[in-house]
Amino acid sequence: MRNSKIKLVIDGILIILAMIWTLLPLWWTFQTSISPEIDLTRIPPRWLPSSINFNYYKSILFKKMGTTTAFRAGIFNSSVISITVAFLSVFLGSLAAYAIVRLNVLSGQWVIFTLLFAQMIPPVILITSLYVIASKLHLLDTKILLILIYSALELPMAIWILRGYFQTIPKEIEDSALIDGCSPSQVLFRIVLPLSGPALFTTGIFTFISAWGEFLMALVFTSSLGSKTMPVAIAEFMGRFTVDYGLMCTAGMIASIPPILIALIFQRFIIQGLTSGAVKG
Amino acid sequence: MSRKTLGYLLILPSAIIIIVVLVYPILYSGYLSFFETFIGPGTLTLTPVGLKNYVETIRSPQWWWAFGRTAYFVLYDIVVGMSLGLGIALLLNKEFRLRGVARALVLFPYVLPSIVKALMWKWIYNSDYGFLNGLLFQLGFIKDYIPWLSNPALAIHMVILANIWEGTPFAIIMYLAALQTIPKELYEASEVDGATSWQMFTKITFPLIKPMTFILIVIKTVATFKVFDLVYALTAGGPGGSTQVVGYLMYSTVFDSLQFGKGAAMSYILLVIILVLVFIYSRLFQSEED
Repeated sequence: MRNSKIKLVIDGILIILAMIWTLLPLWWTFQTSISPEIDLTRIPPRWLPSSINFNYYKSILFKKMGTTTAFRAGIFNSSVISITVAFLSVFLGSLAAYAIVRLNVLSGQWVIFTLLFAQMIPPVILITSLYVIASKLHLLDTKILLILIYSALELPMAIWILRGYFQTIPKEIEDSALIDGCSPSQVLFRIVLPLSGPALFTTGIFTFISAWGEFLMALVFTSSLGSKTMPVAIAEFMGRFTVDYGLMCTAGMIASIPPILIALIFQRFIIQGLTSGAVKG
Repeated sequence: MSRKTLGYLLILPSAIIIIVVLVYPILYSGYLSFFETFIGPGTLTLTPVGLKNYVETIRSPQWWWAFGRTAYFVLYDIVVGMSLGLGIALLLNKEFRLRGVARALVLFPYVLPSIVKALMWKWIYNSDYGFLNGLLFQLGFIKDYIPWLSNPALAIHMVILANIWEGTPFAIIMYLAALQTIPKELYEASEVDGATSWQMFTKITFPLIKPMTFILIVIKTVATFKVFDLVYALTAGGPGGSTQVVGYLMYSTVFDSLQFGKGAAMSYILLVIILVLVFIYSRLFQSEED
């Protein structure tokens, strides 16, 4: 009996350690963002802020300065791009997934192959030629280009998740609708999609999170305030010779709000999305 | 309209996007890899050079150095990162209060934008005001502050540590999924037979999560060979090339030296190496199964 109690205590300590390891960088960034500037250059550092203030948040949200203006533009561009990519991938992905599951075009093998291949190719393979193609089409430094690239990178995953879900919808429901005179496209829009809420949602938040955080493509393909995304704006912050760590951490915290909220509220969907590929395949 | 026609119509938009943005550029890169490229303002001049880009890459010590650095990353990610992931997954698989919260919290390093993760670690490693030096100094482990990212031998391990932190949630989630498929009866039965928890782990848990371990090794290898964001933001390949990974070398070949053809050749060589690795893995795994 006593043995199992000791075991429980050890487990508890290990769980707490695991949580500290996971959250420490985030906590340190957060506490930097709410510290007064003077705290940040103390040696050794203060473990808790001497007083809480939101000056950095005020500066980053309202101050007119090269870096802060770029950050705000970046947040706006990233929102437009990520939301568009999420909707596009869900919409186009469900059309394709339905065609694969029920209308017998292309086999599932193709989806797996494209999915694996999209994961395996080093991004530079794409970048060199996309750069040449985009400059010919005058698409360099536009939001549209990033939307297209991200959609292409996300679609294989989207189709894979949606295909897995569509397969679980009983075919009888669709068959009886077909007998009642629905066309296959009506079956998709009136029956299959309304029944697939959770899968559409999983796909949407998944594609949103990866588009929100993508860095390399955005770094290469965007440079002006009209298209530069949040990660690129933050990287510019960090590249300066005198890095304002307080402002930088605040930028990081603001950029983390959407994914953190998603992780807290929709963890079930993220876990489902992540594991749907590996466990079933 | 026949079902088949409708099917092709539905798949068309996705197919067009994937072909234009993924398939065509891959082929075009293959073509570029046989040329020396010269980028002028708005122009691209191609001079055919045959296999030169490939031969030069394979002969270049710089390439193999970068490859070795990356392999070192991959090794750490698989051995340390996956063990850590399995350990935390085993903990989170136990019944306890707030388990749901804990499972949401471990997702954080996965969902945050990679550049934000990089800035967090850059601040932690800051040699003057950073968390790591402050903590170790106050605990009495170090007498002088250490320049974590400007010492070549240290820098690579610091980047690897950040990379492990970033990659652990994925392993945790995957292992949790695998652990949940193991029937509880197996453990109950072995407990009746007097098995210790270590025996249960080696005789039940470990064999049953082996397929997942294989999948994770493949995914981690593929993903870590692409590591770029962290290196770009923390060290930019330095100091002294100590964190020069292939992802970064290819990027600077293309965008600093503007050698598009060479960069394309490098990425094809890397792709072949990754495919060979995955093939070897699957062979090893199959022979284990038999």
